[in-house]
Amino acid sequence: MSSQSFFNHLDLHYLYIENKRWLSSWFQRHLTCVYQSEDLTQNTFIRLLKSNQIIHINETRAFLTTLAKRELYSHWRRKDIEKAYLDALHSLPEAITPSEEDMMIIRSSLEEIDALLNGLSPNVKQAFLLNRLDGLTYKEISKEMGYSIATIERYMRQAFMHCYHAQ
Amino acid sequence: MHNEHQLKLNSDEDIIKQDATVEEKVVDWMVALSSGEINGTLIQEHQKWLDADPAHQQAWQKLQKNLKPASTISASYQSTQYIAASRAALKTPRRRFLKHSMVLIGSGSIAYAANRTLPILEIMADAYTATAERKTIQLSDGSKVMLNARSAIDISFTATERTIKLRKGECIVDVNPDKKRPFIVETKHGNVLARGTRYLVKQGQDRTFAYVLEHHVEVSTNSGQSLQLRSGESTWFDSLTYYGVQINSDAIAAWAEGVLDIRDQTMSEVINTIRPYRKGFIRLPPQLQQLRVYGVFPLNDTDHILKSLAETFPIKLNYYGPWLVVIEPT
Repeated sequence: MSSQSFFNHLDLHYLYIENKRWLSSWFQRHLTCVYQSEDLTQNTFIRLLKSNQIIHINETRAFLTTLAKRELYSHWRRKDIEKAYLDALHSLPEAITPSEEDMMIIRSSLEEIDALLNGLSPNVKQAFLLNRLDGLTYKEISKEMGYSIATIERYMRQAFMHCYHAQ
Repeated sequence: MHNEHQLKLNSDEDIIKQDATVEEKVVDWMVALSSGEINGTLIQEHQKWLDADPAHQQAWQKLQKNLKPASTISASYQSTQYIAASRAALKTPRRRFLKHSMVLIGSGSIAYAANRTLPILEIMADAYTATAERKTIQLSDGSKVMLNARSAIDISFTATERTIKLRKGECIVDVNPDKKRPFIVETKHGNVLARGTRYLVKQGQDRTFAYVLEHHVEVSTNSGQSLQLRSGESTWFDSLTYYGVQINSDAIAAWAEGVLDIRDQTMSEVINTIRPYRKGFIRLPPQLQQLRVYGVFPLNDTDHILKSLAETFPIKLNYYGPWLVVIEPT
């Protein structure tokens, strides 16, 4: 480990100790569950670690608040997707309820795909998902969505280009 | 398209230009290879392009890696219900937030209501099985289809043809003879056709397996290669070609009775067979994949199967929560 990263970790350690409780109570104001606020606090520090930014001591809390907001948004986004997922499952004639283990994997996969496709138009997303999740051919997608095959190809090209540049 | 290799890199602009060409080309290839209608020439051309430059390889791998999350859902949750629900969930509009405040404007409840009315049913398979579930489906012509776990089929009967489209997984068909209407099991790699017989078809990611339990069938790949298989014979095929003919025992079809009958198969084949019977993942390291396995096990208790394997082989099982088992050498 280089001395540079060692200091960063040490800094982060103090930053964590000093701000953990404050951040957790910040989350609690927006959430009902104590455990969730602790999870989100952890995630926020992980974001901080990943962001690799130099923070000035006098704006620590402002910066942490920005990261915390992002964390809270993605938490809500996860909840929204999960709820929509379960609603969709339950609206099917033969309702099935995935086990908690299944839900764990599904939740994280959905989150990843959602982040991957963020910014694409609904039609492009739809074409992409029909192809990658359902395994439909372009011809089948064209029938399903009511657009020409050339249009579907254009959508797919857009989606792949977007994915290529995704982080 | 012009030849990138002739480009001379003498300024930053050129580098960017060349990069742009590679990325566009990668996307072109992905668009072409995802169409669902590919042929041998295309695959060969693609391979040639990959081999032409390490940068092509690298860019291709980058795109594949980024696309991976989408295959987790389709590979692990092959039930079309899960897939349809995933697709519906991913349509959920993002909430919008007022700047500098936490007030929520986007109305979640409207979004959920819209999701309920999506045409989920239209794209659902006619029949499917969940993890660890098997099902026998009685068809209108008196034929029967037995679905292995995590499998899905569409049924389409016309005046001239009886077609089962195997979307995912594995099935055994017990075909009622009908001289006028051949019975076809269709996979993404090709067709397996019969007039009256019993046979098994299993669709994998890259290849399809066909095995004849009685009489004979005709296998034809998407590229038009065809092959006759008789009782006891099996083959693997992909869109282009088939890979030899093997003689197998009916042990392959033992799952229909809820039994896993293994006679000299590799560990990796055995693990692949029990995967559809387990929620979560099993990870098998490459050095253990070629171990030869014998034994008869009850399919419905995969923990028992794994435990028995750990007792007879130099392996140990590490459970990481209920959804991940990592097999390791001892």
